[in-house]
Amino acid sequence: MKERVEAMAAGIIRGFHIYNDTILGGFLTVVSAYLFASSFSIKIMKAPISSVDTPRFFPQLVFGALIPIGIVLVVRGLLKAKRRRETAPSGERLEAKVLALKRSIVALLAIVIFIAGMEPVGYIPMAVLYMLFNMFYMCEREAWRPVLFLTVSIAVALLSYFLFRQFVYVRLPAGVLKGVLGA
Amino acid sequence: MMTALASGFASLLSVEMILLMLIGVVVGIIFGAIPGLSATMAIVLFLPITFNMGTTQAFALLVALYIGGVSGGLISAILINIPGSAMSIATCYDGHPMANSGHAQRALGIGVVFSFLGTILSLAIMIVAAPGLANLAVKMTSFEIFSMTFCAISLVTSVGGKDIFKSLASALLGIAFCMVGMAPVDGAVRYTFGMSNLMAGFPLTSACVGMFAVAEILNSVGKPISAEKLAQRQREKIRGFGFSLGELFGQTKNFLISSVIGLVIGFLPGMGGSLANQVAYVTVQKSSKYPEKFGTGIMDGIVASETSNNASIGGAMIPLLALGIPGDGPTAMLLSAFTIHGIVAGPLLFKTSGPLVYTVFAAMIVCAFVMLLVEFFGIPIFAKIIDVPRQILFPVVLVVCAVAAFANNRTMFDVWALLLFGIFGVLMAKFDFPRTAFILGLVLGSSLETNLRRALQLSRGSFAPFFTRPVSCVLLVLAFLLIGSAIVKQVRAMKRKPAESEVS
Repeated sequence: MKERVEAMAAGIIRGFHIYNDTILGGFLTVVSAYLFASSFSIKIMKAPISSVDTPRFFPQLVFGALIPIGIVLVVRGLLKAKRRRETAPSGERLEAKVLALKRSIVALLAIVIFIAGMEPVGYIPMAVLYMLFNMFYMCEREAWRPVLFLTVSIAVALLSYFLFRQFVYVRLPAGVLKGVLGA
Repeated sequence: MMTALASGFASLLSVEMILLMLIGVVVGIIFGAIPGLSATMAIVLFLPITFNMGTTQAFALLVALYIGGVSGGLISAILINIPGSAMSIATCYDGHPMANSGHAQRALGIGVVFSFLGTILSLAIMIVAAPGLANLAVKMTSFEIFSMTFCAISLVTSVGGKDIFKSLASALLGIAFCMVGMAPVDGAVRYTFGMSNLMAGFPLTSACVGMFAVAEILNSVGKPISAEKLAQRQREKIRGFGFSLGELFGQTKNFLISSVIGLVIGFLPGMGGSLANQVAYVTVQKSSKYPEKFGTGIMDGIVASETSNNASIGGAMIPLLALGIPGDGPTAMLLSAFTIHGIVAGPLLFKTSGPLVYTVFAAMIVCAFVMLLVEFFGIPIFAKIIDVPRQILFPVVLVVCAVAAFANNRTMFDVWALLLFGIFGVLMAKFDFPRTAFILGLVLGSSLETNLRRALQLSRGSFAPFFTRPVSCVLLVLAFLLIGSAIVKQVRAMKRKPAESEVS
């Protein structure tokens, strides 16, 4: 299972390297075309002075300009693909990129969990957990300092909560600590 | 005028006033340095506190917050490559590489000194020329403002990125994101897909901080930090601000260009330091003898960015005082302060409240000096931030950014927007899309559309006045020339590359 996932990630990275302009250009063209078409259904609130004095005109201008740019990127990407195939990562370089991708996804998931948990669980517990996790995750085992990491995480979470409450008048979500924090 | 200014200084010469300005500058610097907070927020928070103060004390505090807040952004931009606000984006390009090469204090010193000099020059021009320059601002109609905005975007996209097509796409995407929510002029709802949170559009602070802060953190987790890399950096020892008088005078041309750009952009409503720092950076780069060195940690880049964003302070105050039209976010809050204290900003301000106006001028000059001193003594302390291990610093920074994003509108939507733009920032970096062009489009998109629609309403749908009005025509022609020449250059470079590979 692990090998299949890594093989898939390696394939994505190589494919991305070779065809990134094509993928991007294609995505840009399709999305811009969709949003350009959607602009015709934007409600016109009052009778316009002219056909260009409507809330549709500017979106049509912007997405209309993005479509040809997207097409240029697609064509350019296809022309560059052969040259890019020769420089596509492989071997150790590819393995390093696969590892970086996995680690970035984990880091991203950590941020998502932190933000998603802020309201139900509370800012302080989620901030402590997030900071603690990330501090351990970002460095090798030899560089772990559990006491320091825990102290900094708790101190920052508590300090930021109270400073923002007292001086910026922002009540961060208390969550499970509602009764404790007097929120 | 000099007598009135001297009286203004005299009214500030008390322990209470100096202390008030010191506190204002320090708090402003803190707000400016924390990504997600800003000078505008600092002024908003302290506004109620000024209700019970005398008018002089109130404005001394508020302008101190403004000046400190604009300057404070350089600290995080230089030390952690995350701009305190959109006003300091360009400071990251050379400030952070210089800090990374072991010269953090020098980078901070350069930023601090040129922030101070930019502020002083723009204040001097403001004091002397405010009414005259304000008359010029009144003559600028929607046609000229649209053309100037379009020209500024063209300049940054054509010079700022390696690939003109990607730069243009990036700017257009920024403008596209700006179109989410209620349209300017008539309030039509666009591209919200039924989500009520999107009615007000995407929050700019979350976009700016997310694109840099979250992206920086996601990029740095790729490889675990080894225990060896955690060894102490060699302590940098600097004298004074970290650079010589020779280097200071060597930046005269750069300083003057950036000051003018900051001043001019500052006094056009809706633009301000966010645009000024980027336009100044690319302009100085384009006119430099060594443009290829920009982005590697040279002094010129920091000078351009910090001079222009601080010069925009004086620029933004001109229409505020002379016309009652704020130039940027902080001056919009200052206008509220004027109203609350029963003062009507506008053409009669100099007649009805002349002593107060000159006291505000004097307070701004004093605050600029206070900012210089506070930041000079703070440099060794700020620079210690770079010694904090990244695995401790980055999670803390992300949490603070999330809190700051929440603080803007007290909703979780802004925090999610922070993450969304962070992911976007990472993808943009992977696809070699310049993030600054995107941010510029996001910042200016609304102004661009508003002025375009107003102009078209005035001309009853005709585009001719854009080209028959001389200032507008020159700016538009310049914009098209910039884009056109960048495209031609790119196409030639593309043709040369396959030819070179055939030869090899």
